[in-house]
Amino acid sequence: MVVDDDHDLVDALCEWIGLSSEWKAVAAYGPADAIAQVSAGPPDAILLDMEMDGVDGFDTAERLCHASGDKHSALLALTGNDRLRDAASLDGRFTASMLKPADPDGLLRLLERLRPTH
Amino acid sequence: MGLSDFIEHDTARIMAEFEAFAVQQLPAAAGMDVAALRDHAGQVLAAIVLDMRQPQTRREQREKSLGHAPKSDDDGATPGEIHGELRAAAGFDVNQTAAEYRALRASVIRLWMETGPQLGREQVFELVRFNEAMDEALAESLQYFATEAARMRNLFLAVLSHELRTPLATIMTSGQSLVLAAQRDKPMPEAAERVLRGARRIKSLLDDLLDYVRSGLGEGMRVVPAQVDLGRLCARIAAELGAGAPARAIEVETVGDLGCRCDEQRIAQAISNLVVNALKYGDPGTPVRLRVDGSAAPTLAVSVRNGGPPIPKALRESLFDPLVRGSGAESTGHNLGLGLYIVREIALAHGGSVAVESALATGTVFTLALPRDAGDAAPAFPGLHVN
Repeated sequence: MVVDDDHDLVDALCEWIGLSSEWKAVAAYGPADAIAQVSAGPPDAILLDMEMDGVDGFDTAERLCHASGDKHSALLALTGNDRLRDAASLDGRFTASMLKPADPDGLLRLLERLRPTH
Repeated sequence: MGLSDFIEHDTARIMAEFEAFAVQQLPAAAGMDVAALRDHAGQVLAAIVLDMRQPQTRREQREKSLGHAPKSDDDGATPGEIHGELRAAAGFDVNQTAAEYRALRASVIRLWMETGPQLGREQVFELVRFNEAMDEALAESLQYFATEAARMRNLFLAVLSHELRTPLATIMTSGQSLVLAAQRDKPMPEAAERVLRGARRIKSLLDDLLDYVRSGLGEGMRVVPAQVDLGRLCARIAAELGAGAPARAIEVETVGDLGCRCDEQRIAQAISNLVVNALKYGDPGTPVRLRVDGSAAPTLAVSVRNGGPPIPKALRESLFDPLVRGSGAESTGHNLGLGLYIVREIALAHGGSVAVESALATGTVFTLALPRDAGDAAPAFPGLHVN
């Protein structure tokens, strides 16, 4: 699941992932949308923007972890703020954290490494 | 009367003279509450009087004149320090901040001399003490000003990099998809559209940034006037922005003679910024009303009204300063907090002005007042606003 409040970026990432990998990407255009979708059916991995609608990204991460229950969706931080990227890399809940713009091929390699748990 | 007694006794008169200077000479003061201006100068004077009355040894005097005065015991910031911090936040530049002290010092000394004081040893000594205290306050103020200015610059750079990174990520990702799609002979017009939108967003951020940096360097904004029909211009802006927000209504109303000699591109930019803000911060259920009033002879008024909760009074005062962003969109506003600052710069470069009114019953209205002919109206020193 790709979560960002920037519609174009969500659509671009979903399209790229769908086009170039075996993953099925779903779009979430904000924290509320993401939490609702995760509660309905947790995905294997969540690519999460850390700054949406003035909501703290770590709060959103906590709520997503809670919503995903036993499934333990892998959390990947994607942010335009280098300090938040660093903070997320030190936070045990995140499998990886990346600075925008993330290299599209690098993102694929990262997703590929997550495949065993898939 | 001694100088410290005079300052204490005639604070009101000193403030009146100082205010007249500040409002006339300091562009940023134009957007500033006069009461706030007076408050601070008053506090600085009170602190100086207190300082002048402290017994001081010859050694202490020497230390102070060299800028080595000990910090006060309490942890609170001195009025000079608070002053510097506030001025940086209000968009003052370093010259203006220093000029305020010059004005304060000149006002005090001129008014005191008018009272015809006997200049004996005691009075000269007090004058020296006054100047030392003034210099100390100025030095503190400038130091705080520099710190605050650096903090705001860092914040600005962080926002800038964040706002550029998101559209850049869209361009890179969609570009990569397009490469793959081309190899597979599969057209992807939506990805191409996203690339273009992302590029346009980056361009508009960079344009804003350029305007900001130029105006900050005192170069002002270049205005190329031509005959423009503001009614037609507003209708075009409403149509363009309405297409991007199909769920929202933008109503255009025109009154009187709508002809105006102005820089069409700049005025379109100013009006667009106001309408974009109205769409972004206004109540989605209420239409945005764009009105051009050309019924008065010397000036035209373009107003943009939106419904929704009023802008808090405290925020209203700093709204046109650079790097100020509305609440609710604070961290994801997709803007640098330059929109209204640029509107004001465009208005000033045309010899016009921009104002805001905001109340629960009537909503928020931004009014751009423009002279009919901006040809000769561009001020010699753009950006300087004289009331």
